[in-house]
Amino acid sequence: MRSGDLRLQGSAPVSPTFMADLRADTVMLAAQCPAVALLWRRAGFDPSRDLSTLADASRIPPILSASFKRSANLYLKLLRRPLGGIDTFTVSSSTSGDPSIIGRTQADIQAYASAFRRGFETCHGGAPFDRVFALWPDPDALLALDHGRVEGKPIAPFAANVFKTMGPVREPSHRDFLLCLRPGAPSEIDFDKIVDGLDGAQRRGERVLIGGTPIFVHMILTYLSERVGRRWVLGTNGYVLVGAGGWDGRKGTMDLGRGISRSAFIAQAVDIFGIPPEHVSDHYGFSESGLSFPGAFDGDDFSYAIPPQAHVVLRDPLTLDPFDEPEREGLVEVISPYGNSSHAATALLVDDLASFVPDTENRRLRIHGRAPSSHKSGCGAMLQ
Amino acid sequence: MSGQPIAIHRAPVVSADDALAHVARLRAGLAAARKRPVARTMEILHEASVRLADRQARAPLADHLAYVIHHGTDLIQEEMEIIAALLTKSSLRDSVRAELGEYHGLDDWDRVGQILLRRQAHGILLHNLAGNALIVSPHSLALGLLTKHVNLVKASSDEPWFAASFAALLYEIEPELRNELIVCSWPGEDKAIYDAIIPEIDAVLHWGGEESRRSIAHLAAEYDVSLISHGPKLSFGILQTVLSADLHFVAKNLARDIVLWEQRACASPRFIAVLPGAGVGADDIAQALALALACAEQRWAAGASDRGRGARQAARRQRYMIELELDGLGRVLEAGRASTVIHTRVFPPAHAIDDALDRLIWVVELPSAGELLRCLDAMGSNISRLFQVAVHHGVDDSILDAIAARGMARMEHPGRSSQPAPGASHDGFHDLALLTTLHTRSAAAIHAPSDRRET
Repeated sequence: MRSGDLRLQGSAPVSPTFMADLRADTVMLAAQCPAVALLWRRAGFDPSRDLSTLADASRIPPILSASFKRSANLYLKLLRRPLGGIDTFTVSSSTSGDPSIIGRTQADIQAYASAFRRGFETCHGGAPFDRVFALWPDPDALLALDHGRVEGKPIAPFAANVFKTMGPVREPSHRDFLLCLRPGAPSEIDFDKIVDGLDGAQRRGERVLIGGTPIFVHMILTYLSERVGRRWVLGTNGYVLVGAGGWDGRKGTMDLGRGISRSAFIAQAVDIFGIPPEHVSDHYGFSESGLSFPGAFDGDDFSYAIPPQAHVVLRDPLTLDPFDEPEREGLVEVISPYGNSSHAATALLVDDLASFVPDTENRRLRIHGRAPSSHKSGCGAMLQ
Repeated sequence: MSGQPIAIHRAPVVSADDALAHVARLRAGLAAARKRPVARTMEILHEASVRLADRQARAPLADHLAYVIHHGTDLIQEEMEIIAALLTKSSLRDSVRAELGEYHGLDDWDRVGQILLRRQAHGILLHNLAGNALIVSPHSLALGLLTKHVNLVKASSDEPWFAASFAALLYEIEPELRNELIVCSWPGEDKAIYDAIIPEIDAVLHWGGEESRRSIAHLAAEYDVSLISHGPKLSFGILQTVLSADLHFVAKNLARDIVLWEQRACASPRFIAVLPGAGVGADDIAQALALALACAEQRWAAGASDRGRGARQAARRQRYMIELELDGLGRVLEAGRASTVIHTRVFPPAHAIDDALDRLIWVVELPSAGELLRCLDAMGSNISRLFQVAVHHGVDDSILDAIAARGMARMEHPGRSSQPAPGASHDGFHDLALLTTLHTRSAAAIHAPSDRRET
């Protein structure tokens, strides 16, 4: 089977032990986390009574991703174990300046790193690359920085542990970190390195990965097409991997002032690098759950596979009622008993809008972007 | 013309040059504006009010606005009723009488005691509109027209429709107004336009954001242009001694105050302070309010086009359930799907009051009126300039004078927060007085002493 095929098959079901694990995990969660026990009691939900089949999973009252935000100040109340058992607080890269703060053990961190590695491998296979053009910072350097502390525990960027799994390379010196982080200033891309690198890789027929957030890869594509004006033919040895969002043109401190069209992005990547369209993948995920949803382009848009470790419920944006109809837009809720041993994210409702792709047993998603956080302001005063 | 749908117009986005050209055209219209009797302006506005009160005629506009500002159509319809009532001849006449007195001097010299009194418009008035409380546009325009200004209107970029549609309705009724009233729009952060036009105009009536107020205030001071500023405001309720017989009536009226404008208007209550008294307890009040809000939802459903509403509401409910209920500090009541009542004994901090939007209300049980005043004082030294409306129900009125001393402009009965009676203070002032300058001359003829001897 070619590495790209699995992601297009579409309907890998949840793992066989999912329900048993989910029952056990939710019963444990209610015992470990008084905040969750309170919310579930108020909603009349009892996991040992109400959770028999996968269809029951939508009955679990979810924790909202907003509840993990720094501003909500609940992240300590959403821990499942005493503070002494927490190793690190991971923070999201927050475009709004209000990151999610999640207490994790080393094992949880390993679990999410593995989940992302699996997601990436779904798209480009497990073999290491000969050359990687990384539009992400060197994770070891990033983790070595002092990011501060919460309750005496170190803070680490969630993404740093993901970067560690990205672009496994045969020879570490053949991974070029093209992104230069400059403290207090916008990041810089080292454009010069990529042209020579692509020439060499093409000449030697190397297995190549070009990866980063959509905005950075888009900037590389624009540079190569408008400034360099050249094309390469990497063929089936070439892969483009994007992730972490930003299709709306905003990510972290970056703001393009407009969105990036996914189909134009793919067409440009295929044109400039000379690779098959199915070698361009996007990855959906968020720091609160630590799961990765690999996305393949299927002619319309990326379609994101729900990993076997998760069940996704979509909810009406207004009423929050769950629904099954494909193509209807709803808020994404991810249910998974895995990788959440320290925080209450077994059932997590995030503020992204998505729909199920038809004929995939509701195991693939289209992502439509963030639900608007606030509608137009009025003349009522805001005190903060 | 009745029954004809009200046409939907959008305020065009203009450049500084366009805006200056509009100012020049308006200046030419000033003589006609000054000549038009106030009674005629009232007739024009009354006719517009009749059109707005026609449910069928306003239906397409209401549907359109519902989509734009994410209010449910039924709620927009209710809001239109309020606007129509504001613009009737009797309401306008009462407002002029209450704000300027029986002899207003807008049309001619009026004799008041020993003097003749005349009021004059400043001239060219810029209306800087903002926000999604629809009432602001027709209210602001009516103030400008009644005081015989020519009016350049900057509609909000978020909602550039209603002011433009209302102006077009007025042109239908009185075509001359095309030279006296121009609605357009530009991004509020575009300082260059303000730089260009403020030296050329005579007064600014500003509504909404603090940021635009500051940039306008600087220019207005520099060019000596009158600035009447209605910045963002904070309103709340005070209940003392609610008798059980009155409970549901009071709750129903409070629910209406909360739901109107999706609680984003300056007059929308954000918390209800419950003071001790002989009536029902805060718990019963919170329950009754939750029930009333759930009923209000049946009548005025939340707008379906607001895709973020469910998640925002759920996040707020979840946050305050965990924050308050775990420690026994309060209780979150889910009032239907769309509304939330939070009953607590802890006065809500600033971020929690900011969260009181989209039908979320704090019911705060306090041990005494003194404690309420202490909490209000603790909100910050500048807070009094934000206080707009207090809806009050109770037998003891002494608290009202104490909050008036703290800057509260208007005290209302529950259900009336968005429908001030003519003459009610807006935020400490009467706009019609502020929008005019007052001129007097002595009434009695001066007689020489010899004249007096002869009589």
